[in-house]
Amino acid sequence: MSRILAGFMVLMLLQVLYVGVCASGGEDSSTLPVKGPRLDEVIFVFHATPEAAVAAIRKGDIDVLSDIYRPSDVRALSEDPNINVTFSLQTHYCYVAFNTRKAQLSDEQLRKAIAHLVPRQEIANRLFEGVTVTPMLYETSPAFGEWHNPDVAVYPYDPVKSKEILSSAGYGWDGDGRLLGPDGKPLGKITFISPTQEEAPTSYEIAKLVVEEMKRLGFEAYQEAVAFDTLLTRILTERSFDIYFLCVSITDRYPRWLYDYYHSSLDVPEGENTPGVRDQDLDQLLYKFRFESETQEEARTAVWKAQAKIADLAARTPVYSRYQIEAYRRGWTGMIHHKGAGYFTTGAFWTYLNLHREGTEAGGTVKVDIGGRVRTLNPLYVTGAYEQKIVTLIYDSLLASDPETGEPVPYLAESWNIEAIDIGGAKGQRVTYKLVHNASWQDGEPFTSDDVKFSIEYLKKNKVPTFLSALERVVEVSNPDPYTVQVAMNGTSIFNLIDVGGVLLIPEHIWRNVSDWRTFQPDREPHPFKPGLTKMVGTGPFILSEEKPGEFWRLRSNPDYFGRLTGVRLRAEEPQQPSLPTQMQVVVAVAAFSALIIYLLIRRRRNLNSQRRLGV
Amino acid sequence: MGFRAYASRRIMNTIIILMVTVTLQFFIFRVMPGNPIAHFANPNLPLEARKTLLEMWGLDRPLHEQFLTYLYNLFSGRLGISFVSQRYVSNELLERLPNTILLMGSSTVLMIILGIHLGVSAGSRRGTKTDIASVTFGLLTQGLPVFFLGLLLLLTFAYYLPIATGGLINFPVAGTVSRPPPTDLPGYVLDMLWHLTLPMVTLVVIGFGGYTLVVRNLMIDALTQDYILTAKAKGLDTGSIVYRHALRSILPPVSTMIGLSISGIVGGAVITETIFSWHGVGRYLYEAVLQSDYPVMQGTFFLLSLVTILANLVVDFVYGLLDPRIRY
Repeated sequence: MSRILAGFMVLMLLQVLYVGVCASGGEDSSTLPVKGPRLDEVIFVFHATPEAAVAAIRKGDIDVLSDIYRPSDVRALSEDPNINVTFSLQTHYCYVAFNTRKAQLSDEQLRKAIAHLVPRQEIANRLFEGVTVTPMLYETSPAFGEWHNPDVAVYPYDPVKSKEILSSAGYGWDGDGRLLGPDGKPLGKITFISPTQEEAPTSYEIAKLVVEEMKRLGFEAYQEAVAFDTLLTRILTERSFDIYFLCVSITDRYPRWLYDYYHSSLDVPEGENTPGVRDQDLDQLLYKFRFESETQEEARTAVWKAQAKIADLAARTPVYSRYQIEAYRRGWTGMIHHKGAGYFTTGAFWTYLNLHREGTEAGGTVKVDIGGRVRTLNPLYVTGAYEQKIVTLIYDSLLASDPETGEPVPYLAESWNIEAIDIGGAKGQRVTYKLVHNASWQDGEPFTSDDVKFSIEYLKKNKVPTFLSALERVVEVSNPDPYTVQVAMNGTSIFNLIDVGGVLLIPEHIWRNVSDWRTFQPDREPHPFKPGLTKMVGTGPFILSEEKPGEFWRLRSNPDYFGRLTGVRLRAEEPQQPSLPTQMQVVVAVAAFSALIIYLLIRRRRNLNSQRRLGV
Repeated sequence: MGFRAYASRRIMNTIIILMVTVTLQFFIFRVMPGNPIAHFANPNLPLEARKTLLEMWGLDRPLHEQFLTYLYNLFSGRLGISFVSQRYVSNELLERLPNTILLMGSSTVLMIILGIHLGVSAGSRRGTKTDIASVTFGLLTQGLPVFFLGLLLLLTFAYYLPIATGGLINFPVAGTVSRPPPTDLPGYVLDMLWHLTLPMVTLVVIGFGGYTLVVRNLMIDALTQDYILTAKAKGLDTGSIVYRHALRSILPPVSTMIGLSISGIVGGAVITETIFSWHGVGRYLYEAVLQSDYPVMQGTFFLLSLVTILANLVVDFVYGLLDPRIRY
């Protein structure tokens, strides 16, 4: 009896050990900062106006609303007891730019004097009711963390200081208070181009405020309101402007856009160096930061120096940065703050892994306002922030970003190694990525180094615009085994690791048969062998299960996600493909219904006429 | 000239008008201020990438080549590839057309029925309370800005009333269907009708007044004609006089009005579609204009021109059926 009992105990022990090994091998091998998803479903829904979106969250139709920008909406939502509102600093910023190619504005001192005339606090208080934006003095906001240099020249609103700068630079004023150049002649007309009041009321008002300040100091300044398209053409293509105001949202976690904004090689038509800055020292610093820094410290030193130089040149002067304001209905927990982005918006990937209802460990559906028009879900063509919200939950890359620091963290690549190599006599790097072993595509196919090699080569061969810059230095990709990828790259930049690590990975078994990547719509084509799926197949935590373009996109949790949270049970059954009627069927049904109503009306009228004729 | 000769001349004219329109549509967008690439102008998309986009969109080619490609796309039926979505414009239009036809078709039919009915009632009872009320209400609603009425209805019936009545009266804030919609056909149709109500009411309220006023004035004139006096002398009842004699005589100008509104059924209503987040052609066109998406603008305007020109052609032919006095 005791033998039988002992045998049974051994069997039990073996079973426990077996289950433990399977669990650790299948779910816990990765070292992700957050695991999940805890949600059953995420449904992104579209509202064409902020009125509809705000009404929807207050009514309870949706749970999350991001990108709130109207002060009245912020107030209304803050007063609602069922809603929490969050404010996050983001990497967005608005600036006034000067055309340094123009005679007057080529003078650095004059630009600094005008920079002191931008009433940032008044703009924040008057135009944004002191709620939705924060005045900004730095080109690179503190949201960039260690990449932000706080020790640079700043130009706070100070008309007295502005006048002092002009006086010391040799400028003067005539008897009528008109500003005279250092040569004693009137300075000439300076035009601030802005969008029209109807198209962009706040930009128009900002230009008006600055022009008024300039006039007060004796400038012959004018505002010229033009259609927004014309404004962009004049700035980007023709360079026919003196001063303009524009906003930009930076999606990069590193201030790499400074290279595009200030390097002299980009002072060409359509180039982003719109002010026309040409400074050799700055060029060297920016090049060093962007392409030649071998360590983070080296890159940081270069970009800090570049920021100081940029501030001294004052070719652009920052005005304000918009807060990322988001609202969610009470009852949700597990949101993760992403530095420079917020909790739910584009780039806030980890939140969707950890989000769950208060009092429950997992399960449930969250409805999120998508924020704007989703134009395409082709992952290679996506350029808009709204599509990214969906695409980043389905497709993955080798590396992810730590939500708090923004630093690269292991993801599909569990480790990496960088070694210096020689490429045709020039310095280069070989980055070796070691892949996780438990990742698979959402259709069940294993994820291997073949897919990574295919993705990089496919994107490079087809010159996919979104990834052109990230892959331009890739020389060769090799995969010595199914879980190792080696990428040889020109240069020795620290961004080599991140550039390739951030590239979106696509399944070779789906994409190798795509005839034209540009017109391929993976979400509209059925999967070749997995019923219920489309060709929109990634390795990410969510699977596209249903969509109605222009209306909603439904994502269900991926039960085979490699970063799954152990011990959490999800509703991971096979997709219930709803037998949706076609739109034509609906139109026919409604037309038949309308015809019936019209027929009844006509019959009623005939009856009435007959009754009248009969004198009833 | 007989009907056949008239018809062949009108059809020739229609083809010429269509060709001129198609040509103008290409060049107007090219001389308009704006550059599609400018909408992608952000630091995240470097110069080289934007050049690649220009090549992809065919905007780096000479104008005459672009024009030929445009003609080929139009007549191949695909209407080109949208810069923004990289989908065929014809596919995108087909996705939105049913929604637009449903909204605009149902509201146009209702506004015509309501407008003509009120116009006939007002015209045949000139100076009565019915007449004054119809004219006043027609003028008032016609003058209402559509965005105002739309937002008023949206906030009242989709937000305040649902909260005040605990969900008893509860219209949707957005969309053509619930998100996600019911999966059975009857449920889906009812759900769509429920979503259709507010935008349709907005359009009907804004639009019926025009028909009422025109029909009323035409009816007043028609009811003073000799044949109406003859009909009365024959002892016909009022209903027959008004609907069979007077209304019949004013149908040609009314049919012109209806013909002109047919392009709207396809073209959609930008503001109403936006307020109610209706996935239709109007909003599609509006977004394309904002983004200088040439293929979408060209394709949609081509469709609208085609429908307008054909509707006018049909109305011209129908005149003869409606009014026996018309001879070709």
